[in-house]
Amino acid sequence: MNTVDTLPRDPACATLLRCRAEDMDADGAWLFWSNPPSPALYRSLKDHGQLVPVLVDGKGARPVLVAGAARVVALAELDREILCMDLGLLSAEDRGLAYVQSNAGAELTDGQLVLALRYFNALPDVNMERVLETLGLEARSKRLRLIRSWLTLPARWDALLVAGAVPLACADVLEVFAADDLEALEALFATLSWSRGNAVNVLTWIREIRARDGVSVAQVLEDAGLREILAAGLSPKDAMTRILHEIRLRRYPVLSDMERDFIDTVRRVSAGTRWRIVQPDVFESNAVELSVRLTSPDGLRAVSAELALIAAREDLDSLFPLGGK
Amino acid sequence: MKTLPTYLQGISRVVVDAAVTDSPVAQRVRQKLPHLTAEVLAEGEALSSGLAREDILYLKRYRGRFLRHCPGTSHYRCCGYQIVHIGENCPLRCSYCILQAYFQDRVLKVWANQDDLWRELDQAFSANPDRRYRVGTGEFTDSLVLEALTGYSRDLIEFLGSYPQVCLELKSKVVDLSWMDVVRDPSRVLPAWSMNAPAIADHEEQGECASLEERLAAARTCAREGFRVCLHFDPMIHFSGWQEGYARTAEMIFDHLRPEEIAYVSMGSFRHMPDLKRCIIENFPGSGYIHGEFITGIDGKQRLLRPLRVEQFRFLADALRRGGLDRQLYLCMESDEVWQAVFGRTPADLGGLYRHLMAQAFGE
Repeated sequence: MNTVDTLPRDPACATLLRCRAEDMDADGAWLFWSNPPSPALYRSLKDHGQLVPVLVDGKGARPVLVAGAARVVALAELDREILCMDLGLLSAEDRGLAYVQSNAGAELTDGQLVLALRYFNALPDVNMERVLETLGLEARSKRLRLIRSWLTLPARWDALLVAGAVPLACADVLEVFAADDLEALEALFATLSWSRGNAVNVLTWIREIRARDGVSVAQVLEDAGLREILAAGLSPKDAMTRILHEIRLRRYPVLSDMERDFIDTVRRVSAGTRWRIVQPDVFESNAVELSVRLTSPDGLRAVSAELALIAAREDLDSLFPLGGK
Repeated sequence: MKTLPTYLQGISRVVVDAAVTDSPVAQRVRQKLPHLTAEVLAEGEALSSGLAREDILYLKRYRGRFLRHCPGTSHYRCCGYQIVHIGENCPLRCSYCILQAYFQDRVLKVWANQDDLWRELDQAFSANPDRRYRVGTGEFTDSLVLEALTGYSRDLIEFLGSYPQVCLELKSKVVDLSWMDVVRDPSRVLPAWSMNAPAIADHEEQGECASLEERLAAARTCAREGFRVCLHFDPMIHFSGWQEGYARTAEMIFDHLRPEEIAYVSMGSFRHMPDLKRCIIENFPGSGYIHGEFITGIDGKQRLLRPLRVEQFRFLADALRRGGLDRQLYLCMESDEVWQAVFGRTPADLGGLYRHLMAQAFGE
């Protein structure tokens, strides 16, 4: 970002200075959202020069970068001096807050919030109320609750969140897994980016199988054939569908069998017709529902004939497996 | 002074509404817990929100309705039992207990304004003297778990002695027969105990519940005194080894009781609102049955997948039938489809479940 927004101190007190990248300490842990400079930023700096200074704490032996890491990298590559705004002596907490504020122009992602809070949580005596306010987090929000759950995970999981492979909504489910189980679960997300619903489902089912059967997550995944699925060269979507199917099969074995039998029956009974047949109550009732979508009287006459054909079959009992005749 | 049962010895605070400090219940509690000074809540003052523990006994002036219909759900057959609401919560710790999710706290609450209860019951029962009632107190609490402190069931039995059209069921997991000597007509009181597979009673019913043998021995004592008893297999739990477990309990029943001594036996599969699952996972992490094959039933509650329920019901029903029970058996909150699959009949074939159980309760 080539801009500076609200600063933690009165900018009137700040002074400007110039230095070269190699003379600057740019390794601070508060630079938690740092990314390599984008081509656009690089081009802008090359064509128009540095329009906005980076932020530094200049009170030490060498300036300490507080915000503007991408610009520093780009300007170093361009072999240019860096224009810095010296904010004066800042605590680790203030450096983090200045960094957040200098990047406050965009909606913060779940990954950014986790990275920021992991930094602030590690500081002693931090004013968390001020931190949360700066990050735009409500103290009692579901988002903050999930972030707090996420922060119980090993820090290496943050990369999966930032990359969008695991949604924050999984934090509640993930936090109950032991370290070795979490390690096994990483294979699910290393190459696949899961939607929120699918991710929560697959993790919940794995957790429940584990609790029910007293087996490790690694064993659950092995039984489900995860390694083979990931090695099969499927598209990510197909791979995730297959994983979900295999895990659900193990979580709900009897229900899965019933569904499979019902689908087989429906295919046989309604083959060649436009009728859609479903079991609406997870087999809680004996009912089935038949539906069809029509656009003309001729269509109505045609599906009526098809329905008569279905009704004339002698194998309809299998459509009502629990209800009998 | 007689020692209190173990399940009551954890009570460490007594709170009482000012309006009921002189009530018989409050007087008895003072007598039974002389080492505890009751904290009195002035009129309009509520129990502070921080007090959420099961070691607090709160004697409350209750302002709601005492006589209620059982909160049955739609689409499934309810037995039509009516609740006499005498209090909330229970000091026993059963992993499957719905009260964990039903109430916001675990404070043991007793409605100590019994005069209001008697007035409401009298109005209801006198308004329609020809109508019969099957009532019980074991819906929001265990009917007898606080009896040693409050004598509540004893009071209720004495009161209902004047209303022969009312049959009272006392459902419990403890053994307390102290109420027996005030019963005028044993045919109007139905002592009832929860039954389960031994492994479930041992591991999932924590907190000093009586053992299955103790419950059945108490049931036999009642039967010998002229009472008919009720047994409730609710919730039946689907776990590894359930067949052996429920078969064993069925055997134990007939080791203690004759079929004619049993008014009715209910069977209900474990079912729950989603909140209860969270409570069980948090409070009883070793209770793996919560991860069975539950689906969302037509009433929105989680229920074991139907074929699994039917298999369990059939198994137990067959075992109980072999012991001589038949028309005493019923299903709690099940559909006609399940009734048909288990018994080969529906409640309609029995003249309706409400009527059928009323007849069973009154010994017809």
